[in-house]
Amino acid sequence: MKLPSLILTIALAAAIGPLPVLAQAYPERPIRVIVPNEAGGSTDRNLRVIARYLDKELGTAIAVLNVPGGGTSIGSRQAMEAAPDGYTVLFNHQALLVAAAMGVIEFGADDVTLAAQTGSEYLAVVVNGSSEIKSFDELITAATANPDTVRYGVQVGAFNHFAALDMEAATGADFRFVNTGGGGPTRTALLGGHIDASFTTTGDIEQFVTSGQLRVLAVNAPERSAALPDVPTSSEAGHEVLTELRYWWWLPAGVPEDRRQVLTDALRAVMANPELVAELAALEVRATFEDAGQAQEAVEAQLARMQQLAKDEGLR
Amino acid sequence: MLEAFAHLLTSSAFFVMAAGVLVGIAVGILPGITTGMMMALVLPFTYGMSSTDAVVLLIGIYVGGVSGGLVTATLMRMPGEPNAIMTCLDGYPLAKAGHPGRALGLGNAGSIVGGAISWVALVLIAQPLSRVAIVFGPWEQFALVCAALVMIVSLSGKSLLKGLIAAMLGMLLAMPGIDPSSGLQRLTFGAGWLTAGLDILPVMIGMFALSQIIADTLHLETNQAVIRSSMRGILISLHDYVRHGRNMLRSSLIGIGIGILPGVGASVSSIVAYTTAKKVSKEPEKFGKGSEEAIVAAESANNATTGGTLIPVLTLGIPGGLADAVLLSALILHNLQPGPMLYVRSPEIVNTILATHLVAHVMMFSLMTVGVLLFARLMTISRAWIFPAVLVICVVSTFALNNRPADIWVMLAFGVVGYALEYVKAPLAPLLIGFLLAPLAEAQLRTGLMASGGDFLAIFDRPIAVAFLLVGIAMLAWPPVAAAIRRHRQEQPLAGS
Repeated sequence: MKLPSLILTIALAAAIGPLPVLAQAYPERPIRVIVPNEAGGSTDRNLRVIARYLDKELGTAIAVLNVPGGGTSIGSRQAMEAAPDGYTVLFNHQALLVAAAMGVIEFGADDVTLAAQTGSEYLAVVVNGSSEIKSFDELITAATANPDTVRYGVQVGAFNHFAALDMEAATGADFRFVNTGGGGPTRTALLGGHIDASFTTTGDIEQFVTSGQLRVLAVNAPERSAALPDVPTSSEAGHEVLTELRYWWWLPAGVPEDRRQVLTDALRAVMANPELVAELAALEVRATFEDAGQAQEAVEAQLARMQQLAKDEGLR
Repeated sequence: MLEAFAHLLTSSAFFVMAAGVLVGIAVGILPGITTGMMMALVLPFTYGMSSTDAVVLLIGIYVGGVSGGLVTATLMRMPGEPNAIMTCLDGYPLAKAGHPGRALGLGNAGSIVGGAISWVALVLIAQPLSRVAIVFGPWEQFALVCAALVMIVSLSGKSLLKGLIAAMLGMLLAMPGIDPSSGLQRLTFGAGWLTAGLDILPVMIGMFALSQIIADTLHLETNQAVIRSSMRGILISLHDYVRHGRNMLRSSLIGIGIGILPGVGASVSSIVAYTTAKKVSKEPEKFGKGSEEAIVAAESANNATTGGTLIPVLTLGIPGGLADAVLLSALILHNLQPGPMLYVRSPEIVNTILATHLVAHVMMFSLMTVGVLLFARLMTISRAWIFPAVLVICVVSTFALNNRPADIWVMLAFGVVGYALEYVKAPLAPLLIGFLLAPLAEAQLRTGLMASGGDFLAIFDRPIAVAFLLVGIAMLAWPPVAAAIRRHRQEQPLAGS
């Protein structure tokens, strides 16, 4: 009785499984969008804002599912391995390309079907408010003249690390990279003077500038940020660097072309909605849109670039 | 501030808060659905609310969530939240000995006192304390975690060797995943699911809850006798508050102090408070077997942490954990920029948050007192009826945590591991502490080394870090020294006579 009762208990618990559903018109049931990050982060926030418009456009509920871990590779893999019926979608940014460049996930054009690119954010370069570095040019000059001395906070092997490597390549600077993690902890390290400089998103930094605790040197964007109108762009500051975070929608490989098209068209429609554009703008996200073809080119170019950086820098 | 209290107590905001606290307690009870996740799920519903109501709702969940973990930890040895681990260690034995009401009552009392003390700190000295959050760099955090690791020794029970083996095993288990300092995979053996490493909750639910089910199921016949449990003691007496007052105060201060540090959090604070209580206790041998002091210490500390973590959230806009990140997200979505100017630009929101933090604690205490009367009856039902339900909850909640099927297998495997460890009488607490602390120590050490260009001696430039290391060494060295002094004193009178 002892062991059988244990087995029975486990079997009872395991006997719950998903039932297969046959689909006809698309979409006729809720679509599951996987965010490979924790709830509350910027990827999650951006998706949830868009999802509120997308469900009306598609006429079905959008279920946001957070599957964090492994530098976004866990959630991304789960989406890529899902049934290619159009009911599982992945929302991710360059983190996926970086994970591929670092060898954390196998990823190529054959593994996914790109649906669209929606929304992008430019990053700014920031230092402590009491730093001796007053301008972007001074930062680059210091990091060029004294290689491996200026401490730059990044999350090693993540997007901001690769973006910083790109900035080094564009300017000739040589930073000392310090692993401080994501946005929040990196800002803490900057406030405490444990690092000298780092990237920051532009939406939530203005207060720190007003209070004098942080100083934004430049926005790595083609034009100035609405939230920081006094901060020059990098090219105005003398060094042309663009640091752009782009969000993409992917489907598993083998999704029928007509379903992919439905999703692409719906995203095109919502990204043209002025209400959504305004909502995203309040978060300092630009309401960009690229269809599958245009976005595919950008993804391939960026992936190649990141693989090159990983190889050149001996990251793997 | 008075206005904020008045608004909270007289308007519909009161019901919003009550709903939040109730949801929070429910979430705390269910393992797998963490407070942060629930806050993220609720976030979209706050779009239509006023910013005040949104904040009130989220803080309600925040406070309720920290406290709810007490219930399942005590009654089923299932920690609903990571911060309830230490409550399992003594709450469950006390409940099993027939005093579930008393165990829950003590925990509940610790919770409200911890919450109230942290509220005082949050209101009076948030600004100066916020300095601490940023002064603590990688070296300070590394040294603090090292000092905390020394606690493994005092949690090892009878056999220090077994305790150390368990702790090392815990540290080893924390290693697979993506190496935080190189971004590359390590010890993943090519298994994709392991790139995320092992999550604390599946490991914990397996080790505590499932292993208990296995152990009890194997001895179901001998355990048939229904525990005659007493519901008495759910409201502990004034005398108890006085008796545990010093412990509550000490544990709360520990909770606040550790709560301020971003990224360390409530689970560490309850470990530190628990061990400190054991060190100064007159009955340290009772710890792990249903000690009242232990329950009070763990629950005071984890609730006090809520006030502590809100300090950097409000004054600096720095999130300590997932729940704080969601709170910040909510403020941003309501066009309130969290950060150093929040106190200046939106004092009404700051006051609302502060007022809610206190009132929600009182609400939580009342709801828990009533709810506990119902929950405690679970102990009187035959275990054979409870196990299948608990097992289903274990599996479902493990999956719900990150939506990763692999986590279920991890949970099941650790059920067996936990059972095996208890079978050979190896303590579980050191394993979990190793598992929780080793990655923190590693990440901070390597960040410090990256900043110093690989120079270990840089730690000596940081006086706070050195102080923590000295505390750690003193804690290691003190027991043998104390024993030597005792022997010396005992020999003196002998020599004199």
